[in-house]
Amino acid sequence: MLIWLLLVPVLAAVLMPVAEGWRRDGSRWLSLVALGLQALLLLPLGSDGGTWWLESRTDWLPLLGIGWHLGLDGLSYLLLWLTVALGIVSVLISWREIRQRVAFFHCNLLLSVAGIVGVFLALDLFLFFVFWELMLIPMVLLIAIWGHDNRHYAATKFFIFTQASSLLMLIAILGLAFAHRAQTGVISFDRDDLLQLQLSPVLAHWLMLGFFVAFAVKLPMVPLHTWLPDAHTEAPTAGSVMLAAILLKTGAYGLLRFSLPLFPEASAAFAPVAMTLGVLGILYGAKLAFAQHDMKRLVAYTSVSHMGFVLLGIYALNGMALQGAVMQMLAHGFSTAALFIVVGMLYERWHTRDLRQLGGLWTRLPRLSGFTMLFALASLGLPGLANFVAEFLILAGAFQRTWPLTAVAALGLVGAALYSLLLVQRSLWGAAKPAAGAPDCSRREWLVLGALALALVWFGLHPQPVLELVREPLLRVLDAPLAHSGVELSSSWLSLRGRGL
Amino acid sequence: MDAAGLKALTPLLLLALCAVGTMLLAGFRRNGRLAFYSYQGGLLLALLSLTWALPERSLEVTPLLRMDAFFGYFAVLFILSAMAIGLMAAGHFRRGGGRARVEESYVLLAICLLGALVLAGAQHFAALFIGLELMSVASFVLVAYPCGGRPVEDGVQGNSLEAGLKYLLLSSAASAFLLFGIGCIYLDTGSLAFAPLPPATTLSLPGLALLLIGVAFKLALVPFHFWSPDIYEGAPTPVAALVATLSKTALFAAVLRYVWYGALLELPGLATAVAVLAALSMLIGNLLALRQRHIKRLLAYSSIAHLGYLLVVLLAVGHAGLAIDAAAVYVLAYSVTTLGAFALVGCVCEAGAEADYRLEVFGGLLWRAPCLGASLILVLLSLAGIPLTLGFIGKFYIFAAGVEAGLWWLLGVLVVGSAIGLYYYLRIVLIMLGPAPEAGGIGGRRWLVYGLALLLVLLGVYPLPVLSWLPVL
Repeated sequence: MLIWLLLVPVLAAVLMPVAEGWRRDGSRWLSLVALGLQALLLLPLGSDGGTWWLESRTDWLPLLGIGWHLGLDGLSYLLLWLTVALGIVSVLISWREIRQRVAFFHCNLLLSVAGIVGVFLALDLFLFFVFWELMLIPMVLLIAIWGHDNRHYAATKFFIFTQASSLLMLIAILGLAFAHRAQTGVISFDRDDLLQLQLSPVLAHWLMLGFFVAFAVKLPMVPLHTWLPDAHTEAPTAGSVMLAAILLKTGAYGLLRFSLPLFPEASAAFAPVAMTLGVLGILYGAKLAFAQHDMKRLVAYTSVSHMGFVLLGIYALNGMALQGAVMQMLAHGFSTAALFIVVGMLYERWHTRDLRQLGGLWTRLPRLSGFTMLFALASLGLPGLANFVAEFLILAGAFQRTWPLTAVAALGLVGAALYSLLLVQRSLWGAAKPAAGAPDCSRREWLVLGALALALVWFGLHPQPVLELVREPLLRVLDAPLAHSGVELSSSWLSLRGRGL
Repeated sequence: MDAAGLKALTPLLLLALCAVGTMLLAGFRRNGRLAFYSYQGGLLLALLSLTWALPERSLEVTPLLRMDAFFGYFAVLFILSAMAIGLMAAGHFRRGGGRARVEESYVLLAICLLGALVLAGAQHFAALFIGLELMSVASFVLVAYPCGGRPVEDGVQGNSLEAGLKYLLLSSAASAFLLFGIGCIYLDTGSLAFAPLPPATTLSLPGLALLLIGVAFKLALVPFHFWSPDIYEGAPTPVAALVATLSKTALFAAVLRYVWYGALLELPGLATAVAVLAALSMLIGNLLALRQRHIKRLLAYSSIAHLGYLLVVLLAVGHAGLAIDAAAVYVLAYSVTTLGAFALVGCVCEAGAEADYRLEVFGGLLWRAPCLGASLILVLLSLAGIPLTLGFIGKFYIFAAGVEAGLWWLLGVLVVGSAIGLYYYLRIVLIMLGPAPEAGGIGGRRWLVYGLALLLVLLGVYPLPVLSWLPVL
């Protein structure tokens, strides 16, 4: 079952040339069918009360204690839905934009989806590492082949940053595996086995850092974020959407799934540093976003700012903030993807993303402008939209940890208001710039943007299902230190449930 | 030597016979194809005889050689590499118009392989030196081998003559160092066998230092690497592949055995010296490759870096149970990948009338010849050590051995070196995605490339058959 989630996109990717030969848009339809199939596979799944909704285990390299261990729980389930949904969105928005080497484009897109699905499912650290690296290759090709002018530079930078940092994670993984051998006599890369380890504080600290750096680069965390603006700006719209909406989430997911449970004490000790870096990211990202003229770059820097909230929430290490972090992952996925799509659509019509050359769009493209407005408001955290719920929960959770940092982080909301309104003001209002007959939203574009807007509103007004979904997995993340040190960390969690959030 | 020893030696004897037979055949009837079949047939026989001849338990055949699982593993690897090189050579020579006299090249290749097998089994300095010289002397000639059958003033041949002469001089100097080192050690210990040094030694340490210099020369480790890009550039492509794979890996196998038998890393100064060599090779090899516009020179620098990675394993010997496994896996990964790279160079760069080794020749390869382009991507990913390729398994093992032995700062250098390496591997991929050059053709032995690329992926996804068969020293 879990294997099929992986195999469907891979098989579809292999069949792309056949579909292309069958009819002109064959590869696009095949991608939609494959992603639809994945959604169908996901639909009937549900919790049966255990740790994992579904789990499968097969030997791969038994000599080294490496197995094909996959597992699905609420957190993976949520992120898989995000992946599938934005995968479909990516296919739809590329319908007009991508005209060259269409089959190969969709092949890469689906392989990337397969790699990401693998990351969200893998419970063996070796397997996780393999997927972690594999999801990058198609993404690098997406940027390098279908990107904008400076695409080679961006692709290379992205590749080197992520690969080099993941090698540090590989060292940490191996350190864990050998620690397991030292304690039990058997080498193992299985997460379940490694959770039982008793590590010395120094070793745990260094190994935790190995994981942290790899995840922080992907997240991205200031000061390891410099690949992101380039990669996002140069990628084709679908690439930006995949990067921003899904790939960045793998970093946060890695922290939640591996870094925190494997090294509870070391993470708790490191939390102040991580939270500070998170706050730094929030402010720095906001400031840089404010200074951009290139719309796409602006949106890219808002990602840095938003993911700073995620980092802050994760390392606040209490139920409310963790819930907020997951919610932020979801909300950022939708809102940033939507903004990238809007920018892509404007670029398709105006052939520029420079805010100085745009203006007065509202009179020309009322529908598209309305959507732009909505997504910009989501990005600044307007109550009623998903981002607000997320940021509120994160700040409320972090407040219980450290109020001064939280106060500074809250300034990020001011920054968000600044850059979002600036984006709106400079592109939508003002004198209309001359342009050839640019049509407003087509039905396909309407569908995509409408769906994303609906998701943002829906999760903003009714976040409870999401919070319920991830409650169990997050509780387990917080319980990990309990098992080790007996510290009562989840008290805030109980109060949260008491208030019925 | 008794019957059991003779039986164990069969593969080597067969190879020697193959060399002599091919030479006689060429003497009677000059036919390139005939020599090729004789060469490949002899190698195949030697390979098959290994299954029968390899003793169940480790067997000492004369004080010089030890036939064990370690020998068996490397022998199979070397014979298969030599067969691939033979295939590349056949394709390469055929392109010269068929007028060139190429029969002797197969004789020389067989001699090279014989030297490599001797090195794989060496447990004595005499065997080390014999194997090394067999291999080196044959390679001098091969590097300068008249290729293309055109007159002497031909530019290609001028290059390869220059390369051959350089290789001869530098390699001889290295051999002199090696011999001097061996002499010093002999003077001190009174034995040429691979064994731990006696505790109170005066001349052994200088001897080891000289030995290290000689080995570093032959393995092209920084700062003894200057010859390698020139040789790669000048030599015919199959011979460059030979120098890159067989000559280096065979010597490495012998050194690995010596380090293991002699427990050399217990000596304080030596471990540091090797660590410095490794770090320099990883960093400088990769850095120098960054700006290369010539594919063969780029591969030369990349192989310097790869040998640096291998030295990390050497340092882990004795401290990590995985070290020998790691060396074996990495040598396999390195050989297959490098052979694939050179086979691709043969296909793509030498398709036109004039060989063109600029990186731009690869422009648009993925669109011109999708399968070949995909193979090149796989080869490059394997060189960079990305999962689902054999290169990743090799790198994984190196990291594992390094972590087990606690070589933290070297692993740090390894990460930095790999990160630099990504840049130029990716650059070739990016060139390949770009526009095609005006005059670009594809020729040569494509299916060899496909075979090697397939092997890379198959063993990268499911390396268990190899892993369960790794030698234990």
